[in-house]
Amino acid sequence: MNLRELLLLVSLAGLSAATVLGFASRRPVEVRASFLLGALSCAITTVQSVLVLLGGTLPASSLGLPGTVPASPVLALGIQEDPLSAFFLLVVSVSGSAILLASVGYAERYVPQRRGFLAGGCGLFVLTMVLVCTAGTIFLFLVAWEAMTLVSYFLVIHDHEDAESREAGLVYLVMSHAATGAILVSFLLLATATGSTTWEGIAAGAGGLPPGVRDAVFLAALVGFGTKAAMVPFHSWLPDAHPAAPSNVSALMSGVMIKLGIFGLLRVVLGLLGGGPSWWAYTILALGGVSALAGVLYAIVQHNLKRLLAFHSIENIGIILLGVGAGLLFQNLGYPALAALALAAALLHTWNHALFKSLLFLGAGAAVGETGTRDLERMGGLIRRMPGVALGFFVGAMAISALPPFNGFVSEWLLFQSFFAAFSTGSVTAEMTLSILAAVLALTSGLAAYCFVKAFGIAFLARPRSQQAELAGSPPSSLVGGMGILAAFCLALGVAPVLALDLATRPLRELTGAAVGSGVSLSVLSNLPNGSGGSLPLAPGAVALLLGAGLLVAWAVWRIRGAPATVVGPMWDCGLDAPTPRMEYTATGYAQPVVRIFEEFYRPIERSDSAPALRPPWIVLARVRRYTVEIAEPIRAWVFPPVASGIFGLARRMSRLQSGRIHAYLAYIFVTLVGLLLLVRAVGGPAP
Amino acid sequence: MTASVPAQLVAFVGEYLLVLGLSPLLLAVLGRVKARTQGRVGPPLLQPYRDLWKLIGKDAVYSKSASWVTRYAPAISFAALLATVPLIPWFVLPSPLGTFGDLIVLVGLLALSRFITALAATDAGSTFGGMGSTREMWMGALAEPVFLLVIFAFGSPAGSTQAGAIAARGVSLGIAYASPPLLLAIVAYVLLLLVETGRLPIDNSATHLELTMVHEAMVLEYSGRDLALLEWGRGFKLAIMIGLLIALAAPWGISTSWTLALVSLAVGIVVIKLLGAHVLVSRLEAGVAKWRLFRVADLTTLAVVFAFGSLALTYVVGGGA
Repeated sequence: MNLRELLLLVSLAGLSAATVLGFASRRPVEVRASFLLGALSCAITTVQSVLVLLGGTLPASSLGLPGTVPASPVLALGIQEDPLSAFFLLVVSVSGSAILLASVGYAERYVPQRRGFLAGGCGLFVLTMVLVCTAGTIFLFLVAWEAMTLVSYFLVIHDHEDAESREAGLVYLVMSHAATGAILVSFLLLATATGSTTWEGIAAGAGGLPPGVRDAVFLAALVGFGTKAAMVPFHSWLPDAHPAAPSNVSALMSGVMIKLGIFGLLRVVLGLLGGGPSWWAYTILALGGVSALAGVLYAIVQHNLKRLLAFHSIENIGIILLGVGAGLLFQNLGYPALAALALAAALLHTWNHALFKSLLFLGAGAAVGETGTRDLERMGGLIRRMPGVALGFFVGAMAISALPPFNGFVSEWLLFQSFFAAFSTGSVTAEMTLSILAAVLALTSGLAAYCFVKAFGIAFLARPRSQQAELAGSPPSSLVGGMGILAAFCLALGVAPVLALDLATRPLRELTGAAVGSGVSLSVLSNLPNGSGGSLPLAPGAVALLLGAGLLVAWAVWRIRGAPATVVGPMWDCGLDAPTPRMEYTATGYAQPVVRIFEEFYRPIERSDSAPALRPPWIVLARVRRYTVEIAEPIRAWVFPPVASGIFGLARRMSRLQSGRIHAYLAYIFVTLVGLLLLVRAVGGPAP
Repeated sequence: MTASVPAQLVAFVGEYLLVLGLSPLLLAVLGRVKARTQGRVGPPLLQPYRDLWKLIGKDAVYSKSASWVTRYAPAISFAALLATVPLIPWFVLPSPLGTFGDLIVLVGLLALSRFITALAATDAGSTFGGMGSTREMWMGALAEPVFLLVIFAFGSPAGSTQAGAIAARGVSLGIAYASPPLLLAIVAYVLLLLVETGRLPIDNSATHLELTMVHEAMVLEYSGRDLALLEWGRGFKLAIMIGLLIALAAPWGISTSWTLALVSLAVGIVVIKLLGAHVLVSRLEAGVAKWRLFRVADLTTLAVVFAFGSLALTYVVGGGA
């Protein structure tokens, strides 16, 4: 057993111990210990995954449980960690560590009896995610996947007194299970067709499968993993589930768990099937483009801070899918180096999103927790009440808006470069498609910046818009500390992304066969490496240096005529008398120009009425004018009702089978058994 | 031909001095030509320099409800705009120390400048600030896809997203560089320039009515030296956008050799080209009234069509030139 295996075992044991300690805890100190142990185990996992990425693969089944029979595939509980696993393990563990650390303080808002469940649940949730990454067989993967879904369901309904939470949990549970069904279909097709249940075995046999089977596997995997990743149109569970859950759980789900949908998709489509026809790529590109744009457009009109962030997760999953689709397309066209560039952008954006979305959700958790409201219109001025949280949220907002010198900019820049590279392929379809998608991506990132000026400006700046915001307390220091770690990563990966890019390209050597990332220069000032040993025109460290130099020039201009006397006075009120916070620009007003030009998309229902009202103390007859705007989600209105009524209709018809008499059920079992035996006989069955 | 590091450094600093020093004059020329067109005399050409000097000497006044965002925003915005200067080939190729980024980085830096200014506009809690902020971010979001497509349209024949490579191709091709797709890309870029820099008919920087303001509404709360940074920044953002247009659309005259005489000549040429382009913009401005805000979307859609048309002309009709 080498160091890498030992570290993985230690971290799995640590997470298990954190889980047990959490569930069994009676005293607050045990809850804290559980979270800290989980965070520490995650940190160990980070080290381990970097070692694996730099050093190579852990062999399959090397960590099989003692006493298992390796010859029987059912019992070989194989843990395997190839570079793709290791990269996603890195994504999970860095964010997981910071979130669990932040949870130490966050959990204290709950009554002591509830904290233990939260601590144990979070530990188990992270443990199952680690297992999903490191599963080497379809059995272990499915068990871990299902456990991950169930644990996260119970965490979503943690605040189960709230009917909204229960309903969101139910939608999540139903959609997740439908998705697991689709994944099961894709895995069973692969396993029966190739006769193997390990990744290596399937990958070896998948090349020779008939195209029809490969297409079916692809579609089932796309639906299954796409649902977990919250790709449009399978995203409906996410905007409900994330706001309903406690904020640290939202951060784990939105920042970390949905990335495993991307992991599964990459595993099946690239790792097992080894790429496919161009229509696969175009399908993923189309879904990615729609997810990115629809996600950000819905995010803009949200007033609920956590719901707003949830829709941005859909947007970012769309961006990642654009990279995956472009990678598949280039691979199909026979350009492995370009495929590696696009996929590296996708993987880097996956990590980046895990970092800044966790950061933003922790910030939202602090704001929501301390004000007691999720409504943006009731926040405001929080930058004074919680300066550390505001700074963290500010960094996250810049990163998600793809602004230099933060990490989101680097991955979106790489994606634009890979789209631009389409012009060297000579395929007109690819060139035009990727040009259009570049415009879509640009619009998306412009709208994301718009949305985050709104979110940060309305929630954290100006004056408090309600008493709750005015009296907000200060968040616990561990929460600010967790945010600090994530913010530092956002800046580091924005200024010096070369190291992260090197890690992200390691899995691609196997997946695309391109020799990428070779000759990485560790200098901050050197340009990013491209696929073929040359360099891409971006040196993020130099951009940051120039920004710093620019700040110095600005300071010099500012001070050239001596230090100014700083005067603090009232706001300029345009002749009005004492403007109140109610006169500030609202979140609704801020979003209005976008609603206006995308009217056909939003189909807003606007109502305005006025009524006479008596206003004391002067008893003047005033008119109260009320304006409301309601935006339904059309995708949900079109897709949900028919599907739901279909399911209920089918269930009603099937309920006739339910007689309630035992002998009838015994008869069903007997008939099914005979039917199965006949079927096995008919198709040949396995050799004895 | 590569130059020695000291020569590159001198050219690098020279670019900054050119843009920073010339931009107030360019603004004055723009105002002057506009005034003349409208039958007025207009302010003297040195007025913007006097205004800036006066503003820099004044104290800083902040609203009671403002936070550190208001205090640092002008400097961050100024720094982001400054960082774009080396990305554009002004008078010599290869651009000195300009290989650290490309035009997508320029888009990112402009977005950073806009983001922080718009955020600061919401900081004081004034209604006008919020209004200006939402309008500015809205126009920025609409301009971004145009910008990317324009970069693709100009860049794809050169195989690079760097302005230096595009300009080098133009200089080496000479008059053969001019082509129908290039013309379409230029039209798209000019429409983009109007939106991005807030010129008429998009935004009227001389308006006195708060409800029609975009940029002015955002900076209402600013005074003194902070305002000086913002206004200076606004001036050289225009110079940057026009300088980029010159480099992409008419790069002839940029020196490809590092001899002192040729570079000095190129500096003279670029100054004349900048003055000429500003005169053209001011004639354009003098002829139109401000549009309704929501017509900006029509303009950017039109620009997307032109930019995409340029790409389609090159690759679909031309069969991949």
